[in-house]
Amino acid sequence: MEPDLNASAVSGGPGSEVPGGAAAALRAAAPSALRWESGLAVLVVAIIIFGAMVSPQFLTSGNFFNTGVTSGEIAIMALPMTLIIISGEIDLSVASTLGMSSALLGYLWAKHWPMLAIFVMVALLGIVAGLINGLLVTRVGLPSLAVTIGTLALYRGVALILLGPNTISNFPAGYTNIGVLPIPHTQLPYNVAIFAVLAVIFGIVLHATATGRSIYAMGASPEAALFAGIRVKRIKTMLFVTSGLVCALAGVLWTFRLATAVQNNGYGQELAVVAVVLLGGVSIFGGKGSLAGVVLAVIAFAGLQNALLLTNFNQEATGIVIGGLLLVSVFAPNLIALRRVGLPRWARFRSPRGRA
Amino acid sequence: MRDGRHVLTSELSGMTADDLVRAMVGRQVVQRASSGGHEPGEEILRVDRLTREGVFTDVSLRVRSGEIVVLAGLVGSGRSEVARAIFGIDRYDAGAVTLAGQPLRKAAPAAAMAAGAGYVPEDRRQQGLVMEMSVQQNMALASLDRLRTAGLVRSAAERAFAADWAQRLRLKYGKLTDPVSRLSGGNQQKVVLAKWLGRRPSLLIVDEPTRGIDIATKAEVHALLAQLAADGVAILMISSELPEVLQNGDRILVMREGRLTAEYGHEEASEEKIMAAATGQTEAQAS
Amino acid sequence: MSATVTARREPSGPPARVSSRRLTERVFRIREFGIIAVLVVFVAITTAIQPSFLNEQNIQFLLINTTVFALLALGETIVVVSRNVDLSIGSVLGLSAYLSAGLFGEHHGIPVPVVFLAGLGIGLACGIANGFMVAVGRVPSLVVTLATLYIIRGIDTLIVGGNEVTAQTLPNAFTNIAHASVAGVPYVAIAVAVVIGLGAYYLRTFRSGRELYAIGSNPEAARLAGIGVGRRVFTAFTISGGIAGVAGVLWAAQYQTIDSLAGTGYELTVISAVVVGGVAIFGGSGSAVGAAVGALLLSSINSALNVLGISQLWLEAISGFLLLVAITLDRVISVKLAAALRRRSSGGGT
Repeated sequence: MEPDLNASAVSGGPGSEVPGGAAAALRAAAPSALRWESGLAVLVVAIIIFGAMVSPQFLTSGNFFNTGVTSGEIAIMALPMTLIIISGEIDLSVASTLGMSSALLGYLWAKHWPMLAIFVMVALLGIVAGLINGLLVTRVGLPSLAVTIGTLALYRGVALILLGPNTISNFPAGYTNIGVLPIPHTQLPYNVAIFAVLAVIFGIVLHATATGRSIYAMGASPEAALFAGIRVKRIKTMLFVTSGLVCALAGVLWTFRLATAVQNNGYGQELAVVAVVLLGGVSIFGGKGSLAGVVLAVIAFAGLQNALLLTNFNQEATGIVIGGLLLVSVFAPNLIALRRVGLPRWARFRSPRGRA
Repeated sequence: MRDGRHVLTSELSGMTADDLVRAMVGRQVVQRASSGGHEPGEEILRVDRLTREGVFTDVSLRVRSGEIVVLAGLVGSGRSEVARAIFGIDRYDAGAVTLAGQPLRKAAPAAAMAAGAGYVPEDRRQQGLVMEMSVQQNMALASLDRLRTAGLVRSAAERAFAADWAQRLRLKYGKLTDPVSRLSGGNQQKVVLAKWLGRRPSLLIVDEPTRGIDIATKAEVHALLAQLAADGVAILMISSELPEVLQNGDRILVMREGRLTAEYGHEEASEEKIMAAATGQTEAQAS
Repeated sequence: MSATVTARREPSGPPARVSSRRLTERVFRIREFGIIAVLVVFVAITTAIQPSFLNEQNIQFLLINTTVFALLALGETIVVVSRNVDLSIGSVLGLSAYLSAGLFGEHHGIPVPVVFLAGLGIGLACGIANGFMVAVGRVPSLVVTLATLYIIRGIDTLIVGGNEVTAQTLPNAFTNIAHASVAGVPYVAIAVAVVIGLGAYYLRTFRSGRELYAIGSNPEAARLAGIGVGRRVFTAFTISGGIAGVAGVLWAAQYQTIDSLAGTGYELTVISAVVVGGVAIFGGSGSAVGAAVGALLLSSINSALNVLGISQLWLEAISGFLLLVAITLDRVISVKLAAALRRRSSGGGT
């Protein structure tokens, strides 16, 4: 039971603010989030220094361009993933949605559809993919971990069926140039520009709108969110649909960047996306995290991969670094003594309608 | 002791419960007169034959503006389930809910809120509050749509809103940005109340409003509810504490194993009658 | 008299409760046998269309291909039942396959059982690392095993470099393991079936096994009931790692060419098989036998596609779809069951 006698235990009588605890409050409540982002910022600086030390090419604009181009899609997919994880769910089907939309793009292009119509179809595909995830999670009440493992296989399978072993590579240069040329009059790759715009939008939604506040609430305490009248199901469904749409966009970008549509585009990248989001300080349990942190994590991740690339470090083995960073990102909060027990919400069931 | 000071030393004999409470609280705890002294207004909530298989059956009740209707009964009699079904957290299988004259969609808390209902749940830590969020954020959680311009929540407006209600409810806190987990039980309950009162509801459902909170805050909450009723709010209260039931209820409905078994007005109600209806024993057996 | 005494139970309570339990048990048993029924129906239909599906050679092939997956499914079941997940099994398999098979090249004449032990050892080491981090660090297993998936694969890549172990370096005694059979049934299939049987028996009968179920059902309650949650979870991951290590050696015996990509992507297929086989993703229920049948089902589908001349490309989509169907079905069943139980308990009540 509550230690309710504390209520009257301080000077001032009823109605006055209690100034006494301010110092302690400040120390303890100094958002662990800010500490995380500061740590990330330090990490980014460290990586930049490391990169500059190992290779003279690191700090060139050409290299910056390359880094942006190769990491762009993961960065873009990390944005809706951030919101989904904060809301207490997870979406492991992101890379498969990317692959599926890449496959559709190639498939329709081979059938001589006009590119604009193809874009519409690919967008629709992304929306449907997200809708399937969202409905299974909110209406049927299935844990998003299980659902998105299933759709991960299903969507990759669809990509396989669409393209088979074929590769489509005859895309018009106007599109495939995004992988090679920056935006006119700038040094910025298209990927990075798109990422920046999306990051701002997602950041505003998450941190400044009622929906964003609701997302934090439902992640931190799904019952309380429900009791506060927050439309949890609707918001979660929209998050999955957004993720599907954004991943479809990533699929298009990936295809044009590589100038190739092949069924295994993006294969295995879902785990990298989750890793980046967790590294950004988002708690796997939901309810905590910031978009700024994820942006920093994206930069750290991209920079690190690039630096290692320049040193001819075995590309596959960069996984060790990613894995290590991931472990650090989850053990560090535990050291700040935030003990939580139990299963993250995306692995639990919920009732199909209201509470049973 | 009260507020850190020693206020009274006395032999137990000769002291009444009232004396003790007065010493602890520092002021007279006033027994609410029937209907708070005013006539209830129009019907705000009407529940017709609400049924959820295996949980509650054929529950019908009415709450009018300015009335406090208390649902009494033993733990497990289905009262909270009825309340949750009315507000839309749970489904129901049969029956209808009418709020402010309009039929209320089932299983849609947002619709209930839009029609003017508020719900202070039984479990404030799991259901009433997001413990990780601040006092300010919790208070604003049900009113976000009213605190924004062009889609963006204005933190200044949120802060002002919270500060206003903290003052009205005499909340004891460090800073509005403190996590709400740091407050005492009584003050946490005030935050939950503020969250709903900030919406100016026409119907307020409160489930065990003073469970686990100290006497002084308990008295404040009761006074607050009385004041709300006087201002025209319809209140449906669920309580397992007989003194609270008797003190606050204009009308007292008793549930047992999912059904309504009795209704008493403020004057005619007594502990024995309520316990009898709640347990199914005769009055003589229940006393 | 206290106002918070709980409501009295009606006299008709106890009988209703007993039959409720029987109803629940019946439903779960249906689910577990259901997967076997699905397998039988599937095989029957496929054979009807293409009788060669059930010829000796194909069955042998099928059984051999399933052994690795069924083993992995056993290990994964032990972990999943306790409300955890082990995503690193693919990487562990790959590392173990390369290192243990590589022993043949470095130490000529090394006995085959020693190589198996080496694989076991590698797997155990990885499992211990996972178990330690999950149990002691109290960090969610999804994240830990996600990280070790990367790290172990990275280590594997570093060690392998651009090399690979090829069939020539492997002695016949080793590669024959994959083919050797008795009365048409491959030895490995029998061995793996026995292991799975033992595993299922352990989970069902031994206290430590049942405690895993309890932990999966309600970790807090298990802890409060005095179950050594940390110890059990640690053991579960260690076993899972060890099994993946052994599976790696078996894999090497079958495929005989091992590079740094061995085992990539296996974890999600195994989890699909396990869930399709009736193990709840959030733990608390399911059996190792069911999981193995799930693995067998997925392998059969693979083989059937082959035999029916349908492109292998459909396999992934089908397995994903099956997983979604399985968990939806489970969900619908459990919701209906809960409603039925509720209705039952109110029957004698108000």
